Amino acid sequence: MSTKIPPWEKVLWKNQPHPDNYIPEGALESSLRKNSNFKPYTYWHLVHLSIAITQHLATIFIFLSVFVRLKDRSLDPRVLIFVSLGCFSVGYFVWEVLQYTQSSGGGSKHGSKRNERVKTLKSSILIFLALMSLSPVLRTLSAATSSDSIWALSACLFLLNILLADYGSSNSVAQVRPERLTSVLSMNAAISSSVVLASRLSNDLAVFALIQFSVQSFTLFPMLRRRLQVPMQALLTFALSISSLILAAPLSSTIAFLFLLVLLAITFLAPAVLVWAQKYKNEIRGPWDVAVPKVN
Amino acid sequence: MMLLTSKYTTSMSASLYNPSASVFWPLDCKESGYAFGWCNNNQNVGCIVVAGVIQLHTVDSKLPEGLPKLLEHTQQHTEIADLGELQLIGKCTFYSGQRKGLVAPELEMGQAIKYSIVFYHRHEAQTLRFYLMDTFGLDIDAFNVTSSSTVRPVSGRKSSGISQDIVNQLNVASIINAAILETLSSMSNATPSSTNLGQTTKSITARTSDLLETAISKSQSFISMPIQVICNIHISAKYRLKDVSLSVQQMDVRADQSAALLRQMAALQPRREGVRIESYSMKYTSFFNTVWLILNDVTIGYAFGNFLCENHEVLSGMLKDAVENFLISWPQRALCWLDSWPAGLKLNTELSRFYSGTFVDFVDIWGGVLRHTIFPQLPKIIYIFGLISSFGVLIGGMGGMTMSIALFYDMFVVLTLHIYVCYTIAVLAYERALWGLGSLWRLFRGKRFNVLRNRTDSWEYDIDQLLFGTILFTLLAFLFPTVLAYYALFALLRLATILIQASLEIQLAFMNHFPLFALVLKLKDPWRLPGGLYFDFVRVLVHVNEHEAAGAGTDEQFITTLIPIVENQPITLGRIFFQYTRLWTKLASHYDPFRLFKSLLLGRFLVPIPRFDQRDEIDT
Repeated sequence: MSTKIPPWEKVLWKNQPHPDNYIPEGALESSLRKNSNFKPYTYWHLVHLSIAITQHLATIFIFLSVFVRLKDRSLDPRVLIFVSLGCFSVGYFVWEVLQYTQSSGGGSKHGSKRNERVKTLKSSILIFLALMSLSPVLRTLSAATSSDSIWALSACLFLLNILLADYGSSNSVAQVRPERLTSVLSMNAAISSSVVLASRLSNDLAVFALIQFSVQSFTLFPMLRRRLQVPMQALLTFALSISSLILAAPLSSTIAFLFLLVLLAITFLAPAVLVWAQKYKNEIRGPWDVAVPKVN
Repeated sequence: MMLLTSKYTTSMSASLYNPSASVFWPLDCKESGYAFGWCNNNQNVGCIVVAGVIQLHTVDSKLPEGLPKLLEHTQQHTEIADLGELQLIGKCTFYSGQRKGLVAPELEMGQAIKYSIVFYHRHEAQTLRFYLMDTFGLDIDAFNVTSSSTVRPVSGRKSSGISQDIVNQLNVASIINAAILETLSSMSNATPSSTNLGQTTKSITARTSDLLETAISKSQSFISMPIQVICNIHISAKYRLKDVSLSVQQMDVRADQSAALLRQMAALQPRREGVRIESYSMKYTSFFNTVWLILNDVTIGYAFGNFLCENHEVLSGMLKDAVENFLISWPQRALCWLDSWPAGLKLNTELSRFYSGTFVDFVDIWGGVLRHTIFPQLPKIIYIFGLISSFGVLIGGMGGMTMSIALFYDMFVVLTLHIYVCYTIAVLAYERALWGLGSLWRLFRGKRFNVLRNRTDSWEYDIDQLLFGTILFTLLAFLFPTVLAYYALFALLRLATILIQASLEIQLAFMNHFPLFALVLKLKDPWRLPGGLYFDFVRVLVHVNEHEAAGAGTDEQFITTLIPIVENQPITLGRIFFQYTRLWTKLASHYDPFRLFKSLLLGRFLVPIPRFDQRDEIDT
């Protein structure tokens, strides 16, 4: 009299004697997967990835020390202008070399390259002239505001810049992606912050120098950074950090010490923490989640 | 029509109480005789309007055969043929009894049809009382009394037994009755009949002396017409001279009014036959309203003008002090206050100094101009204003209180011209700054306003666009509070001047176009301003036959019952003032505080309500 009930199968085209909402025992637990797509972080990989953040922070530190020196009038603006011009030419040269080596395989169009060069030239001249004409106005922009509010405003804007910056890197042959939305906002925040800081300076030429330097550091330099290869990156990071410390040390050793701590923490400590926190990873995926394709 | 029947009438004669035809009987007609009137067939509900009764004793032997001819003859002479054919309806009898009270007649008509009686008031023509089916737009205004009749046919009421045609007949009944009686009397007296209907009704405006009429017409042709032509000269494509200055507009209004008066006097003189009483009454009301308003205006203007003329020295001194204090030195002090860190707000020093320097200099210049040109002449100017106010009416009617209000308004505009110019500059700067700030904020976030889709989209800007835009954004953001502070000062000043101008204009509008006559008429004689009909009930005695009385169980000759009577519903106050409610809503929507505040915030240019809007409201 015992009719063998066939086991329940998850098919719809069979007429099964089970009720419609039948779930066999243990079906739920067995369908859950824990950490199925888990690829554990490795330490050095993370360190390599955090190099970008370190570079960015180092740039900001360099900028801040340059600003303090300009404000104290211990740095001549003309020196700064020449230095930034030199950096600009070096950077442009490197960019051209990279472009040539990276796209030498495909048929690069001469016309588009020339267009790009002309466009670059036009933009740089435009920015140069605009800055020169606006610097007297920018100097007296916030004359009435007290310095404390200026420091606070500038700090907020730099924080925004750090949080929203684009820290990816493209090692592929593809062209530089157009800037994403958040990176536009971060770049604008950095430029505003530098304008706000520049209004504290007392000299038109100093204002011009500072803003030009900031435009170069926060706009052009990240574009270059993204295209460099890995060993170059490590070298670059090292160079930037050392130079930031050197520039900050005479001003205030406490600050230099803090800079060093922050840089080391970001580079070495933060990945370690991330790796240590891996063991708490508990991601449960069930049959209701979106399927992740396996791409080989 | 439903009749309320008392309990006596259940067995009454069917002729009275199963109505199939309504007979409108004049309330004041109490003689027996031959009844004449109109027979209307209103979609199988016959309505008979009795215009009057030819008494038996005036009829001699050759009538009643001649009665239809007489009626036709009279109808031809009175030109009221479009109301229907005047007919002999039948013989009517009033049974006089010992009872006192209103008695209903009994009719014997050609066919034995059932009828029921409805009373109506038959007014004399010279009382200017009449019925009207529905309210018309009581445009008590000189501008728009048209000669065509405004009584329009009421739709959808045909089946109820009373319609506009019947009401027209009711209105005309008295005239017809008088005509018939006069014809009869003239025929019996064998005197040549004079069917001059104008003699039977006193022409009301014949009392107006001819001198006045010639005076008005002369002034109209020599003064008002040229003034009107001048007033309508176009200065630019959109603005005529009268849109720029209120005094010119007031002269134009007054010229219009006098032209309309002239037209109406011609129309009101002596009462022509065939003129509908409704349009006559309306023209009458509007004519006298205008005359009364102008007289009011002139009277008050005379008093005010005398006051101005006597005190012109003192007044000019006070005006000078006020202008110096409020319009010249106060803005200058406010501007200097803004320049020096007002209320602890730190404005950008360079920009603030530039702004305050410019505006202070400008106000100084204007003050100098005023001091050299107008202030020395100010007593004379006020004296001339007083003269115009008192005696300006002699020059073609341009004068009175309205003219002086308009002149003061223009003087106020001239005195505050510097505020207007400074406000224009400030609002331009503010609006540009606001717009630039909004656009650059979008650039800061990496978005752009898509005009095609009317929304904000993300957009990739070029590097130099981004840089330039960011720097400009910071610049504008720091300069904005300064611009805002100066704009706020001048916007408040401009708001104050606009409110003062608006109140003066409203006062002027009231003095020019107030329905004073209609209001007083409503109090005195509401019958002359009809706004509808309603039926009331009146207790009457009805004569009954003996067997009907026996059937009802009484032996009296008269039974009391209720019969409807058509009464006039006077026009409501809302209809009298309906143009003013429209004007008020328009003013309220223009000067709405929320809208003004929003315009201030967004930097829109504040204007007083444009004149052509206001005029269109009053005119239509």
